[in-house]
Amino acid sequence: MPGDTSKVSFDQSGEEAVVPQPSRRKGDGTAPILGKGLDVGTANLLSGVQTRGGNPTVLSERNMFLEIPSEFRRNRQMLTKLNVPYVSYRDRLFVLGDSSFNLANMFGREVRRPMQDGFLSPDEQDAIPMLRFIVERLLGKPACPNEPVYFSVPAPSIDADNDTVYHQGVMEGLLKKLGYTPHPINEGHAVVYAELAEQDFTGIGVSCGGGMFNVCVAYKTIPAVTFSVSRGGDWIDQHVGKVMGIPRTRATDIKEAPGVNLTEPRNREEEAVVLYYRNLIEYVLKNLAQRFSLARDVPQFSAPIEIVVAGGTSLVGGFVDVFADELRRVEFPLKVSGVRRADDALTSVVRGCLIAAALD
Amino acid sequence: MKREDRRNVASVIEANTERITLKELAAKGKSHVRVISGRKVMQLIQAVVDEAIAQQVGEVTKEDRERIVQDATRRFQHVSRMHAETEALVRQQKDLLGRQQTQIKQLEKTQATLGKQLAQERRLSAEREKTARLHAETLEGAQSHLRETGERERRMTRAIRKLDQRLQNSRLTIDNYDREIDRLAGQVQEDVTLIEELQEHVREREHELQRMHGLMQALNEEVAAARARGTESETVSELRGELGEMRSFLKSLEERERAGDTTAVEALFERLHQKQAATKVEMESSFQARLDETLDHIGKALQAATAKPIDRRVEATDVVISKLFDDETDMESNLQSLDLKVSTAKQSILKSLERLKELRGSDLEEDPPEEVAGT
Repeated sequence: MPGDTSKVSFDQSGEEAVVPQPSRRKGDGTAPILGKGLDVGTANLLSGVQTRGGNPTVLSERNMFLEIPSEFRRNRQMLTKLNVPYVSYRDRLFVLGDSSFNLANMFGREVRRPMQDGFLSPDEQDAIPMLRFIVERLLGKPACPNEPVYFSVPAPSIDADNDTVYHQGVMEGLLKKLGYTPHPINEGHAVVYAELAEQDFTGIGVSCGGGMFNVCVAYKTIPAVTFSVSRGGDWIDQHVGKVMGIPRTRATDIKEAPGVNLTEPRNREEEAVVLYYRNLIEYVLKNLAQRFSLARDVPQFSAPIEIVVAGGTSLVGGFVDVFADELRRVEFPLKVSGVRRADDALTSVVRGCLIAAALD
Repeated sequence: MKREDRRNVASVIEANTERITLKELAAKGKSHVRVISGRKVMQLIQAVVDEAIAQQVGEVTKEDRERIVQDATRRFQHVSRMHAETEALVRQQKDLLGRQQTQIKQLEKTQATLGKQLAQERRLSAEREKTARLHAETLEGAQSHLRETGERERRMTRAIRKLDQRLQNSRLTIDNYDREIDRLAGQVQEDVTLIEELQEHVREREHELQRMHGLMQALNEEVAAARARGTESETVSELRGELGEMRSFLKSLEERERAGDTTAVEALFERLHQKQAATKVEMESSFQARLDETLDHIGKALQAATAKPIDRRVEATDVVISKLFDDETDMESNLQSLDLKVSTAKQSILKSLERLKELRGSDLEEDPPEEVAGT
């Protein structure tokens, strides 16, 4: 698509150059690796397992559920025949994952979400049992007792009063109950693992999710600065809907429609989308610059570093160009060689988790 | 008929008739017309006038007739002139009306154009307002963030000031303790001096005792010499008695002094020792407690002032977490019976894994191959 580059490089003369992506090597038939990865996202959960040679196998499920009317409890066999996953819990019937999204339209109801803004939802009482079943569905049984599983956790937000203690504790307990040995890994750090191998895992990984953006600055695999902002794709949808006077779902459709390009908005709604994307990216970069200036133990990068973005919110056309443009406007304390989007942006975090698990 | 009269009739007829084409007549369904000349009309009028006059006044003279005709003609001309003027005025008004209607149409067109422009301007204005609101919202967000940052900085500054104050108080306390130590050191010095004086006194007494012993010995020798001379006189007996008394007196004196001095010195040492010990313990415990308290305050204040997102990874206890999942007796699901949608990632992890292991110094080939359970 014209204007939608997946990588922008800044050479030292300050001129931009669009660099073609390196070709990927095929799997070399390395021995299979034990361990699993789990991307715990607000909108979607993904699990990854490395098979013999080749690319990882990924399973995904929407992170949502729906309680359906009690009269359907007698028709559970029908649900099984339709390949609809359900859980019967305390005399109530819940449908999980993608199927809940489809059924919600049929019943004219809203799906319920176990997570909100990157963390377990405090308002959702049934969140933990439902999340347990969705995770169990994705991970299956451990390959061996106490198989390691690395799951993504967000960093505490700089603009919201949250912390990871409860969320991480519940996820660890849940995974232990399923027979795994859980290990948390920062979401931005997982992106570094998955995408910055050629740079010796030195650079900045940004996971652009629905609930939040997670940032990790790493030096030779070590995370130096990690933080998150509680704004993501959902925040953009909400604000675009508000100022344009349109429903939020309509704003989501506009943002995700084919042909949308942040560098070439075609109408007022797309202009609003561009405005909020730019605002969010500028917000993230300014906070990153400020964290760098305040932190005491920041490594000194001798060479310019690369920024990699991943996640569903980064898939919109022109995202990398806008990111690079905003980067030029911010007084960034580090020299940046370029900005690129991960080739497989949707599975970047789960692949990073899988890499960490394979090293265990 | 005079030519002038014929012209007048023609103009009147012109003024009171309508010009119409033969085609229009045919369109109205008229196929025949009757034509009359102006001369004939004049004749008819004259004939009508003559008949009217004849009926009204009978036979009239030629002069009367001519006068009446002239008079009628004048009146007719006057009326026809007025009629012509009226017609002219009507035509003028019609022209004016036509021009005004044309002007009205033009104005209506202009009004429509201006209306469209106005609507467009209103739309543009609404869009500009929306953009301005967007910018205002962004600005408000930035200002809010600035306010929060400013507030944090002010809190840090206040915390640092408090720390500084506590540090100064601690320094003062340390100074006070130093002075107390100096004072006690001085007191100890005085006590040492006193002890030395006592020791000097004891030494003097001992010296006196030695001198007394020397005297006694001399007396003893005199008594022995007197005894050796073989005579024991009353004087010698007296001397012996006195010597005995002196000896017992000296002994008692010695014992008393020794006991007294020892007791005094011991008491003094004991008092000093106790005092020093108590003071030392008291000082040490007080100082330690105060120091601990101050250090604790400083530590907490420093933490609060320089707080950064420290990863407080707290592992919830197994007991607490397992309680969340204890209530599984009522659960039933069909998850084991269902197929899952499986996809393959577009990118491999092997390169990243290999590079990580190189960086960490472990050999890829040492990993024993392990089967991974199917999904």
